[in-house]
Amino acid sequence: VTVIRVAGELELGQADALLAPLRATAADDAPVVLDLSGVTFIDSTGLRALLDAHARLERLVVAAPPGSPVETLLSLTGLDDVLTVRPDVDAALADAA
Amino acid sequence: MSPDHLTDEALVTRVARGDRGALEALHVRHRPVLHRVAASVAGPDGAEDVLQDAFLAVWFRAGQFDPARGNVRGWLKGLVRNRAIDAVRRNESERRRRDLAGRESEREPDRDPVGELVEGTQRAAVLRAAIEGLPRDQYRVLDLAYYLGLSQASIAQVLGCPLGTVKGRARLGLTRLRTELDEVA
Repeated sequence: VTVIRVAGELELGQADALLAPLRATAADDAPVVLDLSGVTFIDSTGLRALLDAHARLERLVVAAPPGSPVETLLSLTGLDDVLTVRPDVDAALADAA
Repeated sequence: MSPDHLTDEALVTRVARGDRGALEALHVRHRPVLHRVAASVAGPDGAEDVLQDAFLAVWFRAGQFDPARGNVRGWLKGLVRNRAIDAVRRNESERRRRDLAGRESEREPDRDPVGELVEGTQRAAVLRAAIEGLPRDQYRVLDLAYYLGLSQASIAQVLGCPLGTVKGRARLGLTRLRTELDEVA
């Protein structure tokens, strides 16, 4: 399982920065845990990048604590039904393995 | 003498003089065969209209009947057949006109779907660039509102700020956006 941690504001052009390591990971088909617990804001481009990663990867589990900006936005947009979201990295790892 | 006992020719002569009873007698006598003629051309639904039209013609044109060119029944059948053909042509023409009108209304004049798509995409790109160019707090509100469809209350929840702040940022952002897009246009 590959764990990728992204922190800070995930918006505008920064979505590409998220996609770059995911693209590299996609090549070896390993499950990916994307730890977004340190993300303070995510916009529509960030969510699009997440969905893109979800489509490319064999298995993607997002770690985002309840009430965090990412979890709140995924929940409000209904994307928590599309993506696999777990409250922390440990739970995500257990799910991805 | 009751019109019913008169010959067809005598009835037509009376009709030419304005005798409604004679017209009625002609109608009763020949209606079955004339209805069949009308229905064979105009169809059962159109036959009655054709007959009414034909007997109207008989009323006004009875004076034109010429026994030398055939009997009354033949003359009546000719009148009915011609009117039935006219009725079919009228219906066909009306149907074509409606079809054409339908197609015309579906096809907007001078429509250019590819051009519209390109133009729409260009407009969307210009709008997106303008939104991204807004101050960050205004950008976030408008991005969440227009690209993710969130309500202002939800945006307040995401951003962790009061609803009034979201409203204020949305207002400022939209005002600024309007000004910038007006300049582009």
